[in-house]
Amino acid sequence: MSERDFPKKQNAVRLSRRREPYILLAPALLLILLFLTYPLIYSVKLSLLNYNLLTPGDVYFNNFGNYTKLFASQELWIILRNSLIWVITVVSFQFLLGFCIALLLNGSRFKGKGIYQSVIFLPWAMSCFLIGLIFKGLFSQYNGFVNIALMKLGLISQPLAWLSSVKLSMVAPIVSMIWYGVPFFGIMILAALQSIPQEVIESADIDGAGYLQRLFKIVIPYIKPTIIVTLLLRVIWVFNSSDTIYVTTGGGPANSSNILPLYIFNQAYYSMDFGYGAAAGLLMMVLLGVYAFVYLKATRYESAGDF
Amino acid sequence: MHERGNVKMKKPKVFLLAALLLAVPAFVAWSGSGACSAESVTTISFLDVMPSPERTALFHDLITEFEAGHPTIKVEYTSVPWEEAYKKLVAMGASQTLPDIITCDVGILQSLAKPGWLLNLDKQFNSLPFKDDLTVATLASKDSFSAMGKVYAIPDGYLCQGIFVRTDWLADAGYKLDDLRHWTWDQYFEVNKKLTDPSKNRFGCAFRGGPNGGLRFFEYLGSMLEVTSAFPNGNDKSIYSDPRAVDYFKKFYSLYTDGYAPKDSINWGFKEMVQGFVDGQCGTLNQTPEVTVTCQKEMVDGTWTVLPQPVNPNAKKTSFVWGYSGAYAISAHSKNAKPAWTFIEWLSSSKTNLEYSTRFGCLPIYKSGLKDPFFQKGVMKGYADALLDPNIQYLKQPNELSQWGYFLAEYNKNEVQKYMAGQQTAEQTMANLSKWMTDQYDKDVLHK
Repeated sequence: MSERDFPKKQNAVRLSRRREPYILLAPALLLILLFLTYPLIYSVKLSLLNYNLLTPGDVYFNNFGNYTKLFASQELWIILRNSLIWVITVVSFQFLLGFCIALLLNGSRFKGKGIYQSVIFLPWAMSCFLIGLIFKGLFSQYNGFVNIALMKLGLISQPLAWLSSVKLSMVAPIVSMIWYGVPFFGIMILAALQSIPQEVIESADIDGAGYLQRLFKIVIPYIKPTIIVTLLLRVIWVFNSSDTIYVTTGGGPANSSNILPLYIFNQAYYSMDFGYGAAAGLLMMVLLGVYAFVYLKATRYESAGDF
Repeated sequence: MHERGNVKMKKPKVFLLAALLLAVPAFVAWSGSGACSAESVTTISFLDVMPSPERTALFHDLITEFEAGHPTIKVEYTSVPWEEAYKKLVAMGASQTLPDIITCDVGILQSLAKPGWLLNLDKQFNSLPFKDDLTVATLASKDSFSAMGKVYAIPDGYLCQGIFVRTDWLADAGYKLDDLRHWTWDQYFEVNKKLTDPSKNRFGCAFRGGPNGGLRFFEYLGSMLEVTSAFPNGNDKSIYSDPRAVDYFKKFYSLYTDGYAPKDSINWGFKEMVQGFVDGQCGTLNQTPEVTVTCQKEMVDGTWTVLPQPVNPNAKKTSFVWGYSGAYAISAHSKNAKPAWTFIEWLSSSKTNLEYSTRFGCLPIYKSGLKDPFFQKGVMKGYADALLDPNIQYLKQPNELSQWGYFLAEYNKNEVQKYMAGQQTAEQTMANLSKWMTDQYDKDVLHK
């Protein structure tokens, strides 16, 4: 080996070092390109096409025709309002109840705690379709437990049409979804609570902090990253989840309990208009993307772990 | 040290778990290959779109009988609930994963045949061994199992609407059954009113306000306007544009708006309305003959029967919809088209068709079947005679509209629910329905 060859080899090593991270990242990037970027680009293309499976010979670019039709639809605004009510109510109650359950279970010791905990977390393991069927029965106008109980308590004189009244149709799916999702927050927040070092709590006690001070100054800041992530995930999941609505009310009557994903599904699969479905799907993606961005900025997620 | 010790202790368990995870798929794969190794047996997949405990048992029996006579063909039965069938089958069609044989109604058939997802069965239909024995009703409705002029499915059996009634409720209300054998639509509305007593949780009509409920109004409107098609004038003006349509619409939906049906029924589909009648909440039910099987099982004998569909007393001929329940079609991408046809041909033989019709509760596709004693007595006689009545004519659904299935399942349902919920006037509802029909006719037929 000559002396002149030595720097060349050194350069080659440097180059391969520089390439190393990209080579290591390549498999993951390829997978992302394949499973995320390609479907996304395809969806954008589809949303600009007149693409109805029932008329396969009639596929052409209709520019923004699908978007024009979507925003001109009177139903869209009702459905967006419903989606907002659905997400805010469901996630708020799920979070508050889950948080309370986690606080109660954290640190308390009693016989059969394991069994009690399992029973509380059981709804999370159930199928949403089954939950929908159960709540459909509970809220049935004439034979449902809810109306019978309310009438026995003297709170109502006539059975209420929970599933068929335009004003009440969101109640049954919302209650069923809250029931289903409480354990998720319970499990996640309980795990976070159990990770708080006992010494920190004890120091606060020694410094004379009361329960509320301890909760708001120590506990909540300590588990803030968990709260931010779980809330972010749940909002997206709940927004996307329409199975209980599908089973209880089918989105009806007259779209009064319909939300965006169910609307997209029904539009795309009953009319076979995949172009229109893709346009509505992209609207949903943009809404959730904007929400996630604003939410993470507002909660200063990057610095959430610092104290 | 202690922690390291723990990790070491766990290793055998991790290996055991890993071995199990590997062993399970390996076992499954091995079992699968074992099943495929019997080369002489071809397995064909069969998907039914209207399962019920009775119907599923019927198909299991028929498949066992077929397999006994055809040892080289194995039929794998699967099903999808009717409410989800349309979406599921279209998704399967689009992804070219349709099973070898599917059962389908006219809406599904049209949606799957037009994009080329079903096999053309023209030749097979014309070579059916008992073709001359096919009923007039079957031949009159040939376009319902055809698309673009070609046959794409073999009808299984025929259904037409009849009105299930609670005979004990009718007697309490002072009605005699014989007086209602040839009843008119006005009598039908009056009966529903008289049977309603909300204080006892009793309603006249098990109403269908959910998907496909609009078909019943379409039928009533067709009967009142005495037409045989949704576009009777050959132009883009449908029967919904007729000046009399709004009044008929108000009359028909008064069953709900005047309180002769449970409030919940605004969302009811097939299952809920049958349940509403069987459970004793509703006194009448406009349904097809297969429901007799459920009623025989769930209800006390002598408390119910089936009356023919009401008629327009001023009409020269009574037009109403009849159609097959679940015709048999073969996937265009099937690799087992030949054995699939063997199974369909066997199902469509006059002997099997009679057995199927008797147990499922539909009307056979063959004249010889309709003459069987089973269809000439009891609740089925009304249906059979209605279909054999020379004074009826077939009210054709506008299958030339590619979005007719969407209209019944979504658009019509939403518009009519707005009216039923008091959010929209009848005039506005009919104007919207009428415009939709005209726009679609222009697009699909006139290509404007």
